[in-house]
Amino acid sequence: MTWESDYSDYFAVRAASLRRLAYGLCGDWHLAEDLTQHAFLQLYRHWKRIEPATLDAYSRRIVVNAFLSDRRLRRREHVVSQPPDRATPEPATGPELDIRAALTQLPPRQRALIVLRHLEDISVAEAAALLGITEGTVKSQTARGLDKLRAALAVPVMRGE
Amino acid sequence: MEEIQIRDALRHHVIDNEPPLGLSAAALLSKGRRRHRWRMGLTSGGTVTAIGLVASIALVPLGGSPSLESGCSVPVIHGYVAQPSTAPDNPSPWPTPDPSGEATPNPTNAPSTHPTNMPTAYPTYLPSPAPTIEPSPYPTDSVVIFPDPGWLTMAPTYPPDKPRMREMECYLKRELQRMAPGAKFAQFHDNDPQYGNGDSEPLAVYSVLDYRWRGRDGDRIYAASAVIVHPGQSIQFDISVSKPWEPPTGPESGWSFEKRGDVVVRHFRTREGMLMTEVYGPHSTIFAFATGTLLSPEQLIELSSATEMDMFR
Repeated sequence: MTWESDYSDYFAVRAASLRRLAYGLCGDWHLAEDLTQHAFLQLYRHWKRIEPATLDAYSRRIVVNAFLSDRRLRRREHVVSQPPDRATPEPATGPELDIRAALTQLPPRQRALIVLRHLEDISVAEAAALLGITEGTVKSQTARGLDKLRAALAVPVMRGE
Repeated sequence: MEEIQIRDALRHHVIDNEPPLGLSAAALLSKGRRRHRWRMGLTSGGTVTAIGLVASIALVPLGGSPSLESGCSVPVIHGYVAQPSTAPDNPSPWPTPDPSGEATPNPTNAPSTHPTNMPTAYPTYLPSPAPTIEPSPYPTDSVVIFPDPGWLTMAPTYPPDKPRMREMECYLKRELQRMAPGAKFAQFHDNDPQYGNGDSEPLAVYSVLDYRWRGRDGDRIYAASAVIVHPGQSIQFDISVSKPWEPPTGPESGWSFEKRGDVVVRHFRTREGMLMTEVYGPHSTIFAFATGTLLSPEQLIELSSATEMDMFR
């Protein structure tokens, strides 16, 4: 079995979940697919040097880093004389769309921590290693993110009642 | 809202209305291979160019003629300084020379005139302002140069190499003049306070040790490069010969693919206009790169397929 067939097997097993992670981070399926593709191209490049035990962590790290880099780039992008025409965003009508809106209000790193801890179920230590921050920062940032999320999700529910 | 509810909401958020995956392992493998080839082209071509230029300058004061005294020559342009291209139909990312065809009087160690929006992934052919050159521990014409430590290093030139290196150099000089009649070859002059003055030798063949690929550590490759200045356009040309690589088994996206007996040949032209050809023979694999359109894919393949280029035969 060649390493490329190992790579293909890994793609079959992990591509969908990595794209879900990416979608949880960015809230856009197209960008999520781009992030997933980027991750797998990076995996292709470094496959022979990656320890199998750390493959999942490495993949997640690529996706999260690519997402954070993308946010940083986009922050500097919007210098235009006229606002561009954009499609009107879909109105948030249910709880799933509410959480998407609530997530987008979080700073990128808090969003990444919420998604990693509560969607990917990774430990505080793993999240700290992945983002290169201390475990204390992971806990405090996650708690703040959850508070903001609760606050954001509570408002539409009350309005709906 | 409890954490468990947030967790459930997150899971629904990423699973509900999930569109089908638009990626496939085969497509990613193909893209990965293509990028690998592209990187290999850039690093090989670029490093060979850098080494060639640095080495050709360094060898003059340290060990005599850089051209192995091959007795072959090409018409050269001295003190060549590139000018930004203004020809809109020139697909080459390289600048076009002065239309007069005359060498510019500017010294080549003047600041580069390249505009900042030139492609930066591909190396400029002007010598680096501060190459790292270390004196050779070898007593002959061998010089150890570390343009990028742990990657490629100049190989000591032991006597068995020299006849074939001369043969390859003469062949390249002869054939490129035939393929591009009227072309001249840029010669760079360096006034280095440490190593003195020296002129580069276009298409001088160098032996380089390759440390870039796993399993090929220290493999010798032979390389040559030149900036070819033609009335229509100026191009960068690089060629390297290594021990056999495993040939591709079929066509890949963007690449031509052809079997000629026991030799596999293919070529690829990038969006930036760089032509890459690969000739996989039983003894040697030859990678060639050329910007612009002065040389056609078939010419590069023909150049690479000759016996003189089969250095490991």
